[in-house]
Amino acid sequence: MTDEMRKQINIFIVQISQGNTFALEGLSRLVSARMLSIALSVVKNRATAEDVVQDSFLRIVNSAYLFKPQTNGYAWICKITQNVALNALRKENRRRSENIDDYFNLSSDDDVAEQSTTHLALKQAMGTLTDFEKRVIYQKYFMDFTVRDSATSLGKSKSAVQRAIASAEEKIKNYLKGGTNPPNSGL
Amino acid sequence: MKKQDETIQKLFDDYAQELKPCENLAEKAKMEMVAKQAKPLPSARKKSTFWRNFAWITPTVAVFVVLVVVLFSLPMFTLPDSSTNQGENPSVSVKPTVAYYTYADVKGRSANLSDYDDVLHISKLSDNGYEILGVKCYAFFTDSNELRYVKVYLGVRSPDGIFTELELIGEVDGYVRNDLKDIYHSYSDVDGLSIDGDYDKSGEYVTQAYFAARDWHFYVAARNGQRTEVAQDILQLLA
Repeated sequence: MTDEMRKQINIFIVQISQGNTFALEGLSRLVSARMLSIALSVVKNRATAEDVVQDSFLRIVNSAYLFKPQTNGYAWICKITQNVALNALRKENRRRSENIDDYFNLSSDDDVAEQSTTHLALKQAMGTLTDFEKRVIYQKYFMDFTVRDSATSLGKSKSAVQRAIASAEEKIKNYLKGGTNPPNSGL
Repeated sequence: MKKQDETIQKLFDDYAQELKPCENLAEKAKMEMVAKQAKPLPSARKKSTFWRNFAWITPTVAVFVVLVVVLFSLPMFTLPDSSTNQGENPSVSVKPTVAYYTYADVKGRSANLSDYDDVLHISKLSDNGYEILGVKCYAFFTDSNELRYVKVYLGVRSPDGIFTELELIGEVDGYVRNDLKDIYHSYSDVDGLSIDGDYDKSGEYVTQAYFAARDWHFYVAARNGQRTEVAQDILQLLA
Protein backbone atom coordinates (compact mmCIF):
# COMPACT_ATOMS: atom_id res chain seq x y z
CA MET A 1 0.00 0.00 0.00
CA THR A 2 1.63 3.23 -1.15
CA ASP A 3 1.17 6.61 0.49
CA GLU A 4 -0.48 7.75 -2.73
CA MET A 5 -3.10 5.00 -2.40
CA ARG A 6 -3.66 5.82 1.25
CA LYS A 7 -4.26 9.47 0.35
CA GLN A 8 -6.64 8.47 -2.43
CA ILE A 9 -8.58 6.21 -0.06
CA ASN A 10 -8.99 9.09 2.41
CA ILE A 11 -10.21 11.36 -0.38
CA PHE A 12 -12.72 8.72 -1.49
CA ILE A 13 -14.09 8.32 2.04
CA VAL A 14 -14.60 12.07 2.40
CA GLN A 15 -16.30 12.19 -1.01
CA ILE A 16 -18.53 9.26 -0.01
CA SER A 17 -19.61 11.24 3.05
CA GLN A 18 -20.75 13.90 0.59
CA GLY A 19 -22.84 11.37 -1.35
CA ASN A 20 -20.47 10.76 -4.26
CA THR A 21 -21.21 7.30 -5.71
CA PHE A 22 -18.22 7.45 -8.10
CA ALA A 23 -15.99 7.70 -5.05
CA LEU A 24 -17.58 4.51 -3.76
CA GLU A 25 -16.76 2.75 -7.02
CA GLY A 26 -13.20 4.05 -6.87
CA LEU A 27 -12.80 2.88 -3.31
CA SER A 28 -14.19 -0.51 -4.21
CA ARG A 29 -11.63 -0.88 -7.00
CA LEU A 30 -8.81 -0.05 -4.60
CA VAL A 31 -9.71 -2.10 -1.56
CA SER A 32 -12.43 -4.68 -2.21
CA ALA A 33 -9.96 -7.51 -2.90
CA ARG A 34 -8.08 -6.73 0.29
CA MET A 35 -11.34 -6.51 2.22
CA LEU A 36 -12.39 -9.88 0.84
CA SER A 37 -9.09 -11.36 1.96
CA ILE A 38 -9.64 -10.04 5.50
CA ALA A 39 -13.26 -11.23 5.57
CA LEU A 40 -12.31 -14.65 4.27
CA SER A 41 -9.66 -15.03 6.94
CA VAL A 42 -12.38 -14.73 9.57
CA VAL A 43 -15.48 -16.40 8.11
CA LYS A 44 -13.72 -19.04 5.98
CA ASN A 45 -16.44 -19.12 3.39
CA ARG A 46 -16.35 -17.25 0.11
CA ALA A 47 -20.09 -16.46 -0.09
CA THR A 48 -20.26 -15.25 3.52
CA ALA A 49 -17.06 -13.25 3.01
CA GLU A 50 -18.60 -11.50 0.01
CA ASP A 51 -21.66 -10.64 2.14
CA VAL A 52 -19.30 -9.30 4.80
CA VAL A 53 -17.61 -7.03 2.26
CA GLN A 54 -21.01 -5.82 1.02
CA ASP A 55 -22.05 -5.03 4.60
CA SER A 56 -18.70 -3.39 5.28
CA PHE A 57 -19.19 -1.05 2.34
CA LEU A 58 -22.66 -0.23 3.69
CA ARG A 59 -21.14 0.62 7.04
CA ILE A 60 -18.45 2.71 5.36
CA VAL A 61 -21.14 4.67 3.51
CA ASN A 62 -23.18 5.20 6.68
CA SER A 63 -20.22 6.11 8.87
CA ALA A 64 -18.16 8.07 6.37
CA TYR A 65 -19.26 11.36 7.89
CA LEU A 66 -17.62 10.30 11.16
CA PHE A 67 -14.28 9.53 9.49
CA LYS A 68 -11.41 11.78 10.47
CA PRO A 69 -9.52 12.64 7.25
CA GLN A 70 -6.17 13.02 9.01
CA THR A 71 -6.23 9.38 10.12
CA ASN A 72 -5.44 6.20 8.17
CA GLY A 73 -8.55 5.49 6.10
CA TYR A 74 -7.28 2.14 4.89
CA ALA A 75 -6.76 0.87 8.45
CA TRP A 76 -10.22 2.24 9.32
CA ILE A 77 -11.72 0.19 6.48
CA CYS A 78 -9.79 -2.92 7.57
CA LYS A 79 -11.09 -2.53 11.13
CA ILE A 80 -14.66 -2.19 9.86
CA THR A 81 -14.26 -5.28 7.68
CA GLN A 82 -12.77 -7.31 10.52
CA ASN A 83 -15.54 -6.24 12.92
CA VAL A 84 -18.33 -6.97 10.44
CA ALA A 85 -16.75 -10.36 9.72
CA LEU A 86 -16.52 -11.19 13.43
CA ASN A 87 -20.15 -10.13 13.87
CA ALA A 88 -21.17 -12.35 10.95
CA LEU A 89 -19.33 -15.23 12.53
CA ARG A 90 -21.07 -14.65 15.87
CA LYS A 91 -24.42 -14.32 14.17
CA GLU A 92 -24.03 -17.62 12.40
CA ASN A 93 -22.91 -19.13 15.66
CA ARG A 94 -20.05 -20.76 13.86
CA ARG A 95 -17.21 -19.64 16.09
CA ARG A 96 -14.17 -21.77 15.44
CA SER A 97 -10.53 -21.47 16.19
CA GLU A 98 -8.98 -19.03 13.76
CA ASN A 99 -6.54 -20.56 11.35
CA ILE A 100 -4.27 -17.79 10.22
CA ASP A 101 -3.07 -19.80 7.22
CA ASP A 102 -6.47 -19.05 5.68
CA TYR A 103 -5.40 -15.42 5.36
CA PHE A 104 -3.59 -16.54 2.26
CA ASN A 105 -6.26 -18.75 0.83
CA LEU A 106 -8.25 -16.09 -0.92
CA SER A 107 -7.87 -18.02 -4.13
CA SER A 108 -8.93 -21.15 -2.34
CA ASP A 109 -10.68 -22.34 -5.46
CA ASP A 110 -7.32 -22.30 -7.24
CA ASP A 111 -5.07 -25.27 -7.45
CA VAL A 112 -1.87 -24.92 -5.41
CA ALA A 113 0.08 -25.26 -8.63
CA GLU A 114 -1.62 -22.11 -9.92
CA GLN A 115 -0.60 -20.04 -6.91
CA SER A 116 2.13 -17.54 -7.69
CA THR A 117 5.67 -17.65 -6.35
CA THR A 118 4.92 -14.60 -4.22
CA HIS A 119 1.84 -16.21 -2.78
CA LEU A 120 3.74 -19.37 -1.92
CA ALA A 121 6.77 -17.47 -0.60
CA LEU A 122 4.56 -15.46 1.71
CA LYS A 123 2.66 -18.52 2.82
CA GLN A 124 5.88 -20.37 3.57
CA ALA A 125 7.43 -17.39 5.36
CA MET A 126 4.30 -17.09 7.48
CA GLY A 127 4.60 -20.79 8.19
CA THR A 128 7.66 -20.08 10.34
CA LEU A 129 5.60 -17.97 12.76
CA THR A 130 3.42 -18.74 15.75
CA ASP A 131 -0.32 -18.03 15.40
CA PHE A 132 -0.03 -14.84 17.44
CA GLU A 133 2.93 -13.66 15.37
CA LYS A 134 1.00 -14.36 12.17
CA ARG A 135 -1.90 -12.26 13.35
CA VAL A 136 0.18 -9.25 14.35
CA ILE A 137 2.36 -9.34 11.25
CA TYR A 138 -0.71 -9.62 9.01
CA GLN A 139 -2.33 -6.70 10.83
CA LYS A 140 0.82 -4.59 10.54
CA TYR A 141 1.73 -5.23 6.93
CA PHE A 142 -1.61 -6.02 5.29
CA MET A 143 -4.11 -4.06 7.39
CA ASP A 144 -1.91 -1.06 8.32
CA PHE A 145 -2.74 -1.50 11.99
CA THR A 146 -0.70 0.34 14.60
CA VAL A 147 0.59 -1.52 17.65
CA ARG A 148 -2.25 0.01 19.62
CA ASP A 149 -4.82 -1.19 17.06
CA SER A 150 -3.46 -4.73 17.21
CA ALA A 151 -3.28 -4.71 21.01
CA THR A 152 -6.93 -3.61 21.21
CA SER A 153 -8.07 -6.02 18.53
CA LEU A 154 -6.30 -9.03 20.03
CA GLY A 155 -6.76 -8.16 23.71
CA LYS A 156 -3.00 -8.11 24.41
CA SER A 157 -0.63 -5.50 25.80
CA LYS A 158 1.19 -3.21 23.44
CA SER A 159 4.54 -4.55 24.58
CA ALA A 160 3.43 -8.12 23.84
CA VAL A 161 2.40 -7.06 20.35
CA GLN A 162 5.70 -5.21 19.82
CA ARG A 163 7.70 -8.24 20.94
CA ALA A 164 5.72 -10.53 18.66
CA ILE A 165 6.20 -8.21 15.67
CA ALA A 166 9.96 -7.99 16.26
CA SER A 167 10.25 -11.75 16.59
CA ALA A 168 8.09 -12.35 13.50
CA GLU A 169 10.04 -9.88 11.39
CA GLU A 170 13.28 -11.55 12.41
CA LYS A 171 11.94 -14.99 11.51
CA ILE A 172 10.60 -13.88 8.12
CA LYS A 173 13.86 -12.13 7.25
CA ASN A 174 15.84 -15.22 8.23
CA TYR A 175 13.52 -17.36 6.15
CA LEU A 176 13.86 -15.09 3.14
CA LYS A 177 17.67 -15.01 3.48
CA GLY A 178 18.40 -18.64 4.11
CA GLY A 179 15.13 -20.46 3.73
CA THR A 180 14.60 -22.56 6.83
CA ASN A 181 11.97 -25.22 6.57
CA PRO A 182 8.64 -23.83 7.64
CA PRO A 183 7.36 -25.95 10.55
CA ASN A 184 3.65 -25.42 9.97
CA SER A 185 3.23 -24.06 6.49
CA GLY A 186 0.84 -26.83 5.61
CA LEU A 187 2.64 -27.43 2.35
CA MET B 1 4.94 1.32 15.59
CA LYS B 2 8.43 0.51 14.46
CA LYS B 3 9.21 1.36 10.86
CA GLN B 4 7.99 -1.18 8.33
CA ASP B 5 10.55 -3.63 7.08
CA GLU B 6 10.75 -2.92 3.36
CA THR B 7 11.33 -6.50 2.28
CA ILE B 8 8.40 -7.81 4.27
CA GLN B 9 6.18 -4.93 3.18
CA LYS B 10 7.05 -5.68 -0.44
CA LEU B 11 6.14 -9.32 0.06
CA PHE B 12 2.70 -8.35 1.38
CA ASP B 13 2.22 -5.66 -1.28
CA ASP B 14 3.07 -8.13 -4.04
CA TYR B 15 0.60 -10.55 -2.52
CA ALA B 16 -2.07 -7.83 -2.41
CA GLN B 17 -1.35 -6.91 -6.02
CA GLU B 18 -2.10 -10.46 -7.05
CA LEU B 19 -5.49 -10.61 -5.37
CA LYS B 20 -8.18 -10.96 -7.95
CA PRO B 21 -10.27 -7.81 -8.31
CA CYS B 22 -13.74 -8.26 -6.88
CA GLU B 23 -16.55 -6.66 -8.76
CA ASN B 24 -19.93 -5.52 -7.48
CA LEU B 25 -19.08 -5.90 -3.82
CA ALA B 26 -20.05 -2.28 -3.24
CA GLU B 27 -23.36 -2.57 -5.12
CA LYS B 28 -25.52 -2.78 -2.00
CA ALA B 29 -23.86 0.32 -0.56
CA LYS B 30 -24.20 2.14 -3.86
CA MET B 31 -27.91 1.37 -4.00
CA GLU B 32 -28.29 2.66 -0.48
CA MET B 33 -26.48 5.88 -1.37
CA VAL B 34 -28.69 6.39 -4.39
CA ALA B 35 -31.82 5.61 -2.36
CA LYS B 36 -30.75 8.10 0.31
CA GLN B 37 -30.26 10.80 -2.28
CA ALA B 38 -33.65 10.06 -3.82
CA LYS B 39 -35.41 10.01 -0.44
CA PRO B 40 -37.25 13.27 0.28
CA LEU B 41 -35.92 15.18 3.25
CA PRO B 42 -37.92 14.95 6.47
CA SER B 43 -38.88 18.60 6.09
CA ALA B 44 -40.29 17.90 2.65
CA ARG B 45 -42.35 15.04 4.04
CA LYS B 46 -43.68 17.32 6.74
CA LYS B 47 -44.78 19.89 4.21
CA SER B 48 -46.53 17.30 2.12
CA THR B 49 -48.54 16.06 5.12
CA PHE B 50 -49.34 19.64 6.01
CA TRP B 51 -50.80 20.44 2.61
CA ARG B 52 -52.74 17.18 2.47
CA ASN B 53 -54.41 18.08 5.76
CA PHE B 54 -55.41 21.46 4.42
CA ALA B 55 -56.40 20.43 0.92
CA TRP B 56 -59.91 21.82 1.43
CA ILE B 57 -58.59 25.39 1.47
CA THR B 58 -59.87 27.18 -1.62
CA PRO B 59 -57.35 28.68 -4.04
CA THR B 60 -58.51 32.17 -3.05
CA VAL B 61 -57.66 31.58 0.60
CA ALA B 62 -54.33 30.05 -0.43
CA VAL B 63 -53.47 33.13 -2.50
CA PHE B 64 -54.41 35.34 0.45
CA VAL B 65 -52.15 33.34 2.78
CA VAL B 66 -49.25 33.58 0.34
CA LEU B 67 -49.69 37.35 0.13
CA VAL B 68 -49.73 37.69 3.91
CA VAL B 69 -46.61 35.56 4.24
CA VAL B 70 -44.79 37.62 1.64
CA LEU B 71 -45.78 40.88 3.31
CA PHE B 72 -44.65 39.70 6.73
CA SER B 73 -41.38 38.40 5.32
CA LEU B 74 -40.35 41.68 3.68
CA PRO B 75 -38.50 43.17 6.69
CA MET B 76 -36.40 40.03 6.82
CA PHE B 77 -35.03 40.53 3.30
CA THR B 78 -31.69 41.79 4.56
CA LEU B 79 -28.17 40.92 3.57
CA PRO B 80 -26.48 38.31 5.71
CA ASP B 81 -23.96 39.27 8.33
CA SER B 82 -20.60 39.96 6.71
CA SER B 83 -18.89 37.66 9.23
CA THR B 84 -20.63 34.70 7.65
CA ASN B 85 -20.30 33.37 4.15
CA GLN B 86 -21.92 31.09 1.62
CA GLY B 87 -25.18 33.06 1.46
CA GLU B 88 -26.05 31.75 -1.96
CA ASN B 89 -29.05 33.96 -2.66
CA PRO B 90 -29.65 36.37 0.19
CA SER B 91 -32.46 38.21 -1.53
CA VAL B 92 -34.84 35.29 -1.26
CA SER B 93 -33.52 33.24 1.66
CA VAL B 94 -34.92 33.83 5.11
CA LYS B 95 -32.93 30.98 6.67
CA PRO B 96 -30.07 32.07 8.88
CA THR B 97 -26.73 31.74 7.11
CA VAL B 98 -23.94 29.70 8.59
CA ALA B 99 -20.18 30.03 8.47
CA TYR B 100 -18.26 27.02 7.28
CA TYR B 101 -14.88 25.98 8.60
CA THR B 102 -12.57 23.02 8.22
CA TYR B 103 -10.50 20.84 10.51
CA ALA B 104 -7.54 23.06 9.75
CA ASP B 105 -9.32 26.04 11.30
CA VAL B 106 -9.70 24.52 14.75
CA LYS B 107 -7.54 22.92 17.39
CA GLY B 108 -8.81 20.21 19.72
CA ARG B 109 -8.24 20.10 23.45
CA SER B 110 -9.13 17.48 25.98
CA ALA B 111 -12.13 18.71 27.94
CA ASN B 112 -14.27 17.85 30.93
CA LEU B 113 -17.69 16.63 30.04
CA SER B 114 -19.12 18.46 33.04
CA ASP B 115 -18.03 21.79 31.53
CA TYR B 116 -20.45 21.23 28.65
CA ASP B 117 -23.23 19.38 30.41
CA ASP B 118 -25.59 22.34 30.25
CA VAL B 119 -25.48 21.92 26.46
CA LEU B 120 -24.90 18.20 26.02
CA HIS B 121 -27.20 16.98 28.82
CA ILE B 122 -25.19 13.79 29.32
CA SER B 123 -26.06 13.87 33.03
CA LYS B 124 -29.66 13.18 32.00
CA LEU B 125 -28.54 9.66 31.15
CA SER B 126 -27.28 9.03 34.71
CA ASP B 127 -30.44 10.62 36.07
CA ASN B 128 -32.46 8.08 34.11
CA GLY B 129 -30.66 4.98 35.30
CA TYR B 130 -27.93 4.73 32.64
CA GLU B 131 -24.44 3.90 33.82
CA ILE B 132 -21.65 5.88 32.13
CA LEU B 133 -18.84 3.39 31.58
CA GLY B 134 -16.34 5.54 29.73
CA VAL B 135 -16.07 9.07 28.41
CA LYS B 136 -13.73 10.95 26.12
CA CYS B 137 -14.48 14.58 25.50
CA TYR B 138 -12.69 17.04 23.23
CA ALA B 139 -13.47 20.69 22.56
CA PHE B 140 -12.38 22.39 19.36
CA PHE B 141 -11.49 26.07 19.30
CA THR B 142 -10.41 28.55 16.65
CA ASP B 143 -7.12 30.43 16.91
CA SER B 144 -9.05 33.28 18.50
CA ASN B 145 -10.24 30.82 21.16
CA GLU B 146 -13.84 30.65 20.02
CA LEU B 147 -15.53 27.32 20.63
CA ARG B 148 -16.80 25.65 17.46
CA TYR B 149 -17.70 22.14 18.51
CA VAL B 150 -17.40 19.46 21.17
CA LYS B 151 -16.87 15.80 20.37
CA VAL B 152 -17.78 13.10 22.86
CA TYR B 153 -17.23 9.35 22.84
CA LEU B 154 -19.35 7.61 25.41
CA GLY B 155 -19.95 4.05 26.56
CA VAL B 156 -23.19 3.63 28.49
CA ARG B 157 -25.06 0.72 29.99
CA SER B 158 -28.85 0.89 30.09
CA PRO B 159 -30.77 0.02 33.28
CA ASP B 160 -31.44 -3.42 31.80
CA GLY B 161 -27.76 -3.97 31.03
CA ILE B 162 -27.50 -3.15 27.32
CA PHE B 163 -24.22 -1.55 26.32
CA THR B 164 -24.35 1.26 23.79
CA GLU B 165 -21.52 3.25 22.24
CA LEU B 166 -22.22 6.87 21.38
CA GLU B 167 -20.27 9.25 19.24
CA LEU B 168 -21.62 12.76 19.44
CA ILE B 169 -20.59 16.01 17.81
CA GLY B 170 -22.23 19.10 19.28
CA GLU B 171 -21.63 22.18 17.17
CA VAL B 172 -22.39 25.79 18.03
CA ASP B 173 -25.29 27.13 15.94
CA GLY B 174 -24.18 29.42 13.12
CA TYR B 175 -21.13 27.32 12.31
CA VAL B 176 -20.88 24.13 10.28
CA ARG B 177 -17.80 22.03 9.71
CA ASN B 178 -17.32 21.74 5.97
CA ASP B 179 -17.51 17.96 5.78
CA LEU B 180 -20.76 17.93 7.78
CA LYS B 181 -22.57 20.50 5.69
CA ASP B 182 -24.56 17.97 3.64
CA ILE B 183 -25.95 16.36 6.75
CA TYR B 184 -26.55 19.76 8.32
CA HIS B 185 -28.51 21.06 5.34
CA SER B 186 -30.50 17.83 5.07
CA TYR B 187 -31.80 18.14 8.59
CA SER B 188 -31.42 21.71 9.78
CA ASP B 189 -35.07 22.46 8.99
CA VAL B 190 -36.17 19.74 11.36
CA ASP B 191 -37.21 20.70 14.86
CA GLY B 192 -36.25 18.28 17.58
CA LEU B 193 -34.86 14.82 17.03
CA SER B 194 -34.46 13.30 13.59
CA ILE B 195 -33.41 9.68 13.49
CA ASP B 196 -32.24 8.80 10.04
CA GLY B 197 -32.49 5.06 10.30
CA ASP B 198 -31.34 1.93 12.03
CA TYR B 199 -28.91 -0.27 10.20
CA ASP B 200 -28.57 -3.86 11.12
CA LYS B 201 -24.89 -4.67 10.68
CA SER B 202 -24.86 -8.41 11.20
CA GLY B 203 -26.04 -8.14 14.77
CA GLU B 204 -24.98 -4.59 15.47
CA TYR B 205 -27.45 -1.75 15.26
CA VAL B 206 -26.30 1.69 14.22
CA THR B 207 -28.66 4.56 14.83
CA GLN B 208 -27.74 7.92 13.35
CA ALA B 209 -29.46 11.05 14.47
CA TYR B 210 -29.47 14.79 14.14
CA PHE B 211 -31.11 17.25 16.45
CA ALA B 212 -30.93 20.91 17.29
CA ALA B 213 -31.37 22.19 20.82
CA ARG B 214 -30.11 24.87 23.18
CA ASP B 215 -28.57 26.95 20.34
CA TRP B 216 -26.44 24.00 19.30
CA HIS B 217 -26.94 21.25 16.76
CA PHE B 218 -25.85 17.65 17.22
CA TYR B 219 -24.80 14.75 15.03
CA VAL B 220 -24.96 11.41 16.82
CA ALA B 221 -24.15 7.81 16.00
CA ALA B 222 -25.24 5.18 18.53
CA ARG B 223 -24.24 1.54 18.27
CA ASN B 224 -25.42 -1.40 20.26
CA GLY B 225 -25.58 -5.10 19.70
CA GLN B 226 -29.07 -5.97 20.84
CA ARG B 227 -31.84 -3.58 19.99
CA THR B 228 -32.52 -0.09 18.79
CA GLU B 229 -34.94 1.07 21.45
CA VAL B 230 -32.11 1.81 23.84
CA ALA B 231 -30.30 4.01 21.32
CA GLN B 232 -33.52 5.87 20.59
CA ASP B 233 -34.24 6.31 24.29
CA ILE B 234 -30.74 7.73 24.81
CA LEU B 235 -31.12 10.08 21.85
CA GLN B 236 -34.47 11.30 23.13
CA LEU B 237 -32.95 12.03 26.55
CA LEU B 238 -30.11 13.99 24.97
CA ALA B 239 -32.40 15.95 22.66
